[in-house]
Amino acid sequence: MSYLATKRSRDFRRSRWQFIAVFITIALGVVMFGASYDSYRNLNVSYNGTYDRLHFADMTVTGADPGFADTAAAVPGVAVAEERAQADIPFSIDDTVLIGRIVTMPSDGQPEVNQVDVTDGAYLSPSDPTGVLIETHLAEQFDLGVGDTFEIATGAGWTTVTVRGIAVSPEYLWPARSRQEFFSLPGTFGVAFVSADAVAAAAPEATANQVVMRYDEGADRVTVDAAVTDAANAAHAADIMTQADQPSNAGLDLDLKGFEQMAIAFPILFLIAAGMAAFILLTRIVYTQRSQIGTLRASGMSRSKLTWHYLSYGLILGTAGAIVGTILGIAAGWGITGMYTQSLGIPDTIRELRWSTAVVGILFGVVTGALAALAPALAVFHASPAEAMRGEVPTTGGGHSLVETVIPPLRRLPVRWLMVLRGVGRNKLRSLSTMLGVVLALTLVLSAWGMIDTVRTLLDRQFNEIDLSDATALADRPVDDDLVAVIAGVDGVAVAEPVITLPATAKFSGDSYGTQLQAYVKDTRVRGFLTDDGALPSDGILAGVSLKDEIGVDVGDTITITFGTLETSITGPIRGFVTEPMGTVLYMERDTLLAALAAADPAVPETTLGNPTVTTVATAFVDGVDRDAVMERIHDVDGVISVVDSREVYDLVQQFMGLFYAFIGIMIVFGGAMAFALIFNTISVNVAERSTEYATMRANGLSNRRVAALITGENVLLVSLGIIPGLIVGYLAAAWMMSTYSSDMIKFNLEMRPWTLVLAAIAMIIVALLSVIPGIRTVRRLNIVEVVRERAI
Amino acid sequence: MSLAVRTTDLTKIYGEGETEVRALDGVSLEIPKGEFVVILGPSGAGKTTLLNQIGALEEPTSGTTDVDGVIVSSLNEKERTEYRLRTIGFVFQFFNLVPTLTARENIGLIAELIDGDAEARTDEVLDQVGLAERGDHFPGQLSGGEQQRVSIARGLVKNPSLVLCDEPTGSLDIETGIQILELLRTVTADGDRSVLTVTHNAIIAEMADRVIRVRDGVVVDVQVNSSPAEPSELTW
Ligand SMILES: Nc1ncnc2c1ncn2[C@@H]1O[C@H](COP(=O)(O)OP(=O)(O)OP(=O)(O)O)[C@@H](O)[C@H]1O
Ligand SMILES: [Mg+2]
Repeated sequence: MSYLATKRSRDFRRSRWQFIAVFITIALGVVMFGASYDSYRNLNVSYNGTYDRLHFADMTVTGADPGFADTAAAVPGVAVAEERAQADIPFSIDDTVLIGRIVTMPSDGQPEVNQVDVTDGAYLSPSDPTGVLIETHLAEQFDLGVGDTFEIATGAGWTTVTVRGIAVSPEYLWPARSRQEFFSLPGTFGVAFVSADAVAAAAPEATANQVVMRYDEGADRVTVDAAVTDAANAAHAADIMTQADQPSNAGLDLDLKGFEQMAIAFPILFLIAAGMAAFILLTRIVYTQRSQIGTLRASGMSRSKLTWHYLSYGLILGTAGAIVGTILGIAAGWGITGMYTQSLGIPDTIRELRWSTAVVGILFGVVTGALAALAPALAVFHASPAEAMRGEVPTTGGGHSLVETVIPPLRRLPVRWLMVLRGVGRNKLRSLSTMLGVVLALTLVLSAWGMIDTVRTLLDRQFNEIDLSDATALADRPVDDDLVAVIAGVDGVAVAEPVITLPATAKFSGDSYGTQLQAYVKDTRVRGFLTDDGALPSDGILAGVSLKDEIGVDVGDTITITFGTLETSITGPIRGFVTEPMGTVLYMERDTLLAALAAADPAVPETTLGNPTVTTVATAFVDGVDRDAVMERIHDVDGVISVVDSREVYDLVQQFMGLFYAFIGIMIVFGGAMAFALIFNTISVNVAERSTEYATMRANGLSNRRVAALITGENVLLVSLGIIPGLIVGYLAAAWMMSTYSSDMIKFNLEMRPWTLVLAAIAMIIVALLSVIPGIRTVRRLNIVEVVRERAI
Repeated sequence: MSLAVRTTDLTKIYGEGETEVRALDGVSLEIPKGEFVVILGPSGAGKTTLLNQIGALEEPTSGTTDVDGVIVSSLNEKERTEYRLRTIGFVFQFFNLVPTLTARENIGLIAELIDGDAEARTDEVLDQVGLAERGDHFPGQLSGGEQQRVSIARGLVKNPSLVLCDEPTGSLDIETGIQILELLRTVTADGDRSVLTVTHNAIIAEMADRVIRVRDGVVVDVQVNSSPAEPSELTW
């Protein structure tokens, strides 16, 4: 090994903690990149693998005129168009009644489109007409196995069916009932695949009401989507759903977006921090060694050799961090992919070793190291060998600090505190980098924390300001005033109101949007409306705000509403928009809707609105009652078949949030580590540079504690200066991140609690205090004699 | 008698306008080979500047420097590095040793730059400066005089024809200073190599073959000693 290499490795050892801090930051950045990018790509490939294998529909059209399948098949780019029936009807499993969905399949073999994986038992058979396949989430929730039975509500009353097999479907990887009920969880919703003849008996109105399509391989999705949409509109379709809009697919997409973002934004934060820390460290090393550099140059060592020598510090550091980071990152990516596909029950887990990820990851690290070392190395390149002859020169001139100039009385502070103030301006670049570290760390922490805050606030809003009901009762008959009155009389029930919920499509000047229409009584007490007056208009429609963008309507416009299950349509003016966290639905007053339906052509009387999920009774309880007991009593009311607990959904979503908390925990740890690395490095360099001063102060009788207080004071001051811009940048970053998640399904407008900002700021101060400790220890262990001697070297 | 150094009308101006400093103002000098030469002068006279010119650390404003027949002032950056490597050995007042390398490694670092057996030559010069035993010590473990001897060894290890010293005894006590001077003196013994030492201590001049006095960037006097004193005879 050459002596220069020896020198380098000893320099590394001498500042090992700083180098390790930089190394870890680079490695963390690359790990984040590798892990998130690879899992993002692997998950994408896994989904698509499942989609391809099971022929997931490219397009689903519901409620079009009979014969639409043939029309669709003739559209250029459509490979297959297949008819099937789908209907939402009550299931009764054990003692629970839930909204079930039956989907038909040929009994003699898998369909062409939307096939299923039968993970247990067997596929449908013509010889077993009551045998059904149940979707895996439903099986899990109710612990149903092959051979178990449950009941479905058919036109002829409850019919018993037998579980013939458990199936995984590409349509229900994320078990969402619709884009409006995105969080419909197992227990409130379930899917069963039944043979086509069985459905005729179960839900006659749903016979062959849906056409599912696969496109030609390599077909231009946009063109074919448009052509099919035109054809479907011409055939009076109630709902036209592309693959991108399909609820399960959209849900998975939304999830993947998180990975994608992490794969790019967060690693960049880390690498900036790492680059900055490395830059500070190497600049300092070059600075202290400049007289040696001058001597070596004077002795005939070439400029390029020395420049390369210092550049190599950054390259070695970057390469080492990148290699370790890439290996760990790819491994983590594989692990995450497996955990993810397993927890969501994605049948295919496809992991690919992507050289591009490794190459980009390593490049990230190497470039970071090289950029960090570039400026110091260039300083070496331009260093004058004559400097060696001049010995030590003070770097920066003294001077009053800015605050002293602005507030002159500050000058009367004890000199050592003036030192603290002046220390901030002493090496501006380094002070800036400490502040930058704080800004970056806060950005990382706040964008994660902002997500939690937002989801929590929005959930609270959804369940405390919008959905005011405690439970909803489903009946075996169309709900009438008598039933409402009986339920209202149940002990513990404060409010009982009839509610109508209809699958609906809003149409306006050629555009349409499939959603739900909900109707409540005047002055309802089970639903809140986030408008100025909080009231439901009696002469029109209130809509989710996303409808503006979806079909281009505004207040005053008249829209047409068609219904998936009813062969009629109504019109009405938009009276206002509500901003709700979940879904984009239409609201009307119950009497207004009933009047409109009665006046429609053909007219729909209240009693023929449909199955028990359409007319329900929403209830609110008396404060402080035993909820379970009240629901039990409602369940006992004659005609009630099921009581759905509104809170249960809330609790389940809260549980679901557990994952988010783990995520934010990791982000806070990472952000803290990053801030620590950067602040630690700057402080170490500060202390090292001033060791003579500190040694001299110690020699002159200043106690260790006072010196420690000086160092702490200066650095906490610096960190505090970084906190303000950090909170601002972090808030904006969080808002931006949230906005990228927003859609008509879930509206994420950043809702950050003030406390979050306070806690994040406190966390930064704590990190600052922790990062000062090594510096203070160095000063405490400073050998005064040695420091003074080293000056002469 | 061949010349080691010849400068002609050498001028070096720092800064410009109001802040202009004429560190060297038309210096013409001739220094024969094999001499131990002392450059004397008060602080700010231009001694270090002159040394920097001869050592090709800086470019002159005007005039030429000729060392061993090489016009130093006309060399380009690469040639100057090469020139310093082959011809010049530097010794500074501040020893400028790499604190993370041992004495032997500090010397080896330079020895490696030229052809031949670096290790053998390192041992040789370490022995020459009387530090054979201390080669594995780090600078922080050596006394000031010892550190200066390491830096002289570093200057000598390339076997330069011209050794340039800028106040080599400046941060040392008398006794150690004398030891260092004795050491430098021996370098010229074979008549091939020359040593140029800057100082503002007039007493050192007594041991020189030639004394050049500088003031305000101008050579004011050149004095040749036919019988220089032994360093041990010097009184400070
Ligand atoms: N880089 C520079 N910029 C401006 N002036 C300079 C520079 N270097 C040296 N000088 C000036 O040139 C003059 C000669 O400096 P030089 O270092 O050669 O003096 P010196 O004789 O070596 O003094 P000393 O004995 O104190 O070391 C001084 O006035 C000095 O201030
Ligand atoms: Mg000088």
